[in-house]
Amino acid sequence: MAGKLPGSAEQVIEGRQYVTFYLNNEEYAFDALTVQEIIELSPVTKVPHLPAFFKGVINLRGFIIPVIELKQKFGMQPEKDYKHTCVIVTEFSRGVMGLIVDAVSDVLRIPEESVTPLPPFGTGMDVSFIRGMGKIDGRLVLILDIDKVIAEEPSTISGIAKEVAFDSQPLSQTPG
Amino acid sequence: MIREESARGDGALLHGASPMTKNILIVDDSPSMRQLVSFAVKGAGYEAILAVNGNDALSKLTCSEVDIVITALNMREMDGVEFIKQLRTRPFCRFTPIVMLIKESQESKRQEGKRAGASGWIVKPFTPEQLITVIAKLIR
Amino acid sequence: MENLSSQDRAKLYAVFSDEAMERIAELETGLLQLERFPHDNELLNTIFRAAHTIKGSSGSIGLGAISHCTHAMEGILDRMRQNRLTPEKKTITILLKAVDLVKEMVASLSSGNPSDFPQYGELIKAMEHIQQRPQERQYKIIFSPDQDLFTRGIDLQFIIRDLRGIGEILDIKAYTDAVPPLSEINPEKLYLRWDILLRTDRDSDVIREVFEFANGEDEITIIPVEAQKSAIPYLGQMLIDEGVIKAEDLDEALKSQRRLGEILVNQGKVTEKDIERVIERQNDRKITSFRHSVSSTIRVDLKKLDHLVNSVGEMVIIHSMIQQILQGRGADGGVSEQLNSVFPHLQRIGRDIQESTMSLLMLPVREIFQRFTRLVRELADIKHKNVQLILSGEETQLDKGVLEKITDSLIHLIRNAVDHGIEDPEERVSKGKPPYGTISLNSYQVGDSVYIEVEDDGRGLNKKKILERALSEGHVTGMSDLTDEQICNLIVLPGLSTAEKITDISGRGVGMDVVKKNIESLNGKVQIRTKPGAGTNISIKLPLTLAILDGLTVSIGDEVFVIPVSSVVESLRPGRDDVRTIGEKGEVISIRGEYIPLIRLYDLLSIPPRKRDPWEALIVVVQHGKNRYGIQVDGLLGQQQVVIKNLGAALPKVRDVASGTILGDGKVALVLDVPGIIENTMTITV
Repeated sequence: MAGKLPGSAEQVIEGRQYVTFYLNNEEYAFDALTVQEIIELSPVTKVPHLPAFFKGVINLRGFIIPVIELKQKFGMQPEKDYKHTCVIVTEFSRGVMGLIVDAVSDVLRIPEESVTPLPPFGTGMDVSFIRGMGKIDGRLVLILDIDKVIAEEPSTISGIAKEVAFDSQPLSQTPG
Repeated sequence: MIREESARGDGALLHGASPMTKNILIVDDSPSMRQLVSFAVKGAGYEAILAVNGNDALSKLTCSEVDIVITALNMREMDGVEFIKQLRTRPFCRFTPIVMLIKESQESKRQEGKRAGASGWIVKPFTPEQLITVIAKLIR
Repeated sequence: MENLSSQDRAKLYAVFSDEAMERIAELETGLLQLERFPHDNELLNTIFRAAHTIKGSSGSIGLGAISHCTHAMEGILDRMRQNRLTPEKKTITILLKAVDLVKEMVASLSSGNPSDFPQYGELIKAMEHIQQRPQERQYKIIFSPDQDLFTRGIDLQFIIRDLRGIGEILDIKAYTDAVPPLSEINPEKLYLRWDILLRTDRDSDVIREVFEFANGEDEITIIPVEAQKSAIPYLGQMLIDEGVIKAEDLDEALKSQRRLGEILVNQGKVTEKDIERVIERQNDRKITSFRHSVSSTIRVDLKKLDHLVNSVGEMVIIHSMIQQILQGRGADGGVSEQLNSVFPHLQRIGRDIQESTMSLLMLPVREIFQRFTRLVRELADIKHKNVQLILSGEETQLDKGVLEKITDSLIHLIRNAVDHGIEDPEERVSKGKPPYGTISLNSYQVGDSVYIEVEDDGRGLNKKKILERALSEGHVTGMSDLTDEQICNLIVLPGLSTAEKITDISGRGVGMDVVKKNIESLNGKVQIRTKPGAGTNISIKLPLTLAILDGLTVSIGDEVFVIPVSSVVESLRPGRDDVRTIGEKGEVISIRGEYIPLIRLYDLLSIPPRKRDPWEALIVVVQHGKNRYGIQVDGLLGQQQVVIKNLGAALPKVRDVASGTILGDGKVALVLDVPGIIENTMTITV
């Protein structure tokens, strides 16, 4: 897999595998089962009449697939192009789609116990696309639901990660 | 329609009869028999023309107006078989179907009638349906 | 069966299902044929075998309901092929319903309970009822009437009519041996006698009754005849049939019989080795003949074909790239020239592979045409009309993808023809037409296009009313001089075709706009011709293959697009004065005295262009229907064959863009939807 950070050891843990990636220095994750591959960003052909976050289409080994700029979809600040910008190619209910992210960091297992649901926010934001929070190596990673992320309505994720980090306490058992 | 009168002898169609309706000549000296048969055929959509005996039939009608003849075999004035023979001598009557009304016991008479040129027969007593079936065998 | 894992079971069902669907198709086609040719024994055998196969395979994997149903069908079919039951319309209708039921059951294999299918019980009962009908037998009737039959007032045609009423006359043979020479013939006498072969489920008394009055001195003779068996029975079987020996006796005798080989060896006429050698050859022959009987077609996983098509597509692209490179190089001596002379061969081979691969995806239109016979039968039934469907050109091949996509549209057209086009029998007769309507479905290939025509001999379209309607809906602004064809084409406009009341105005039009869109999305064309009172002909023209087309590459701003060459008439740069604006019609360009509408593509697609003014840019003139339009682009990049690819199912449907292709540089270029672009910017003007 591209983008594996040097030096990170692969621990033998139970739990599902996740692909973690960065958007504006915030770390997120997708269930690895939904990820088909990770590729470099190739020239994108614009497609007219689509919302801005639909960047266009690219050529993936002879197949044409659409790509979405994930940061734009989440309403985040589009900072300058990162060196490691790449595309997470995922297959979901409607077909194959590419998601443009700043960098992919790792593929790792997160044990079920380390995954907790999101604490409720008073803001009333639609956060259904967030499956939960995962704790690895002391970092907090927001686990996203790909299907809901790609859903038609652009969702706003900006600030959620910060709020979560601010709000969280040392993870304890979820109340039974 | 029941007519006791005979029609014009000029071969023209009977007044009021449509070209599609078949005309059945009923010859029997028994009035009740005549009535029974004419009711039966009328119910099936045919037109009935009645004659009281063989002479009556022969003198009044030409076969171009009749599609089928139903006749009794035992009649006083002219015997049924004789009537059939005479009918068959008439040019227009050579190919007209003729049905005999016979009694069960009249086997030999039936054969006679057949030899005289009758087409078919029906054994008394019979239901109207049976009669219509016999008629349908012989005409369209 | 219960010990199988659900995965294994699923696999088992999948294999069964594949084969069953093929047999079901055979059944359906066969039954429809059987209606027209009820005496075709070959056909009956094929149909019977199909049902038999499904019964066997479904039974062996525990699909009881399917097995039971096909068993009932098999029973009826068996009787038919033994000549004990006539394939009449009612029976065939029931069998077809049973086929439908089996289809449904196979499709829903995970839950094959009879209770899931409400029609199951009734259908089984109906089929069993048919089987219980008194069996039909054949009789030979020897009829020797007296010579005076006519003069007794008996008309033979009524005898025949009555015989037909109780069964089927298979054969009549007349004997003329009693006919005297011409000079001696009495026209009022009957000199003929007949042998009549009758098939009926009534018994001989009923037959006798038909001849009750016609009987001659020689009463009629009625002889039951056993249906012809296909092979002459063996001696042993015949002995059993006649009651001379019992079945066990035969078995015993056969067992004690020595094999031919043994006997000959014992007699010293051959050696054992000879026998062995010959038997081996006999086995070889069996194997060879078995090989021959394996069909000359092979089933291929569609995914493998798609992969092959993709690879071929990439090969086409690489060829284009090489071509570009070769053209780019100047005269650098040897290498270039050698490449230049060899490359065309490579291209030729490549084109050959391309064509062969594309032809793998071609299917004869028969595949969908067959379905329509059934459709017409049922539609006509519902509407109490008499309609026959005539198919021609069923071998014409079309791309599988295209075939699938036009099926719905064709069903639509045929349905319209039956519902609205063909009049009911009384009306037809009063117009001097035969009481049955005819719909003909023709297919033929001309050049690189395939035509499919749906023609009926019904009422035709009422052009006056269509025009009035179009005027009132505002589709047409002027009355003058619309050709018949243009008027016809109006019925495909939305609004005109979706109104409920339209059915009695045009007799067509329900969903015609959808049909038109569908066909045009396949780069095809629809043409409608009609003659009031006589009928209507709807002609569909389709490209032979979906996937590869000739494209013009154009640029707008930084983007590259492809315009299908088939739409393009010419390209030009207009003079400044040639560009005008006319009232509400918008901008037009004057070309050789004719004004054609101008479409500023950069505007439509929201792309900043390099050239804004038409007289500095390039106008690509395209043809759409009877009209031309000028599409403005920055410039022309070239012309090449492109492989059409889908834009990815995950992409929402986009206006103006039909599909995508991959250019020689690996980048994706969008293929423009020319008809869509035109319709989006224009309304029909007269």
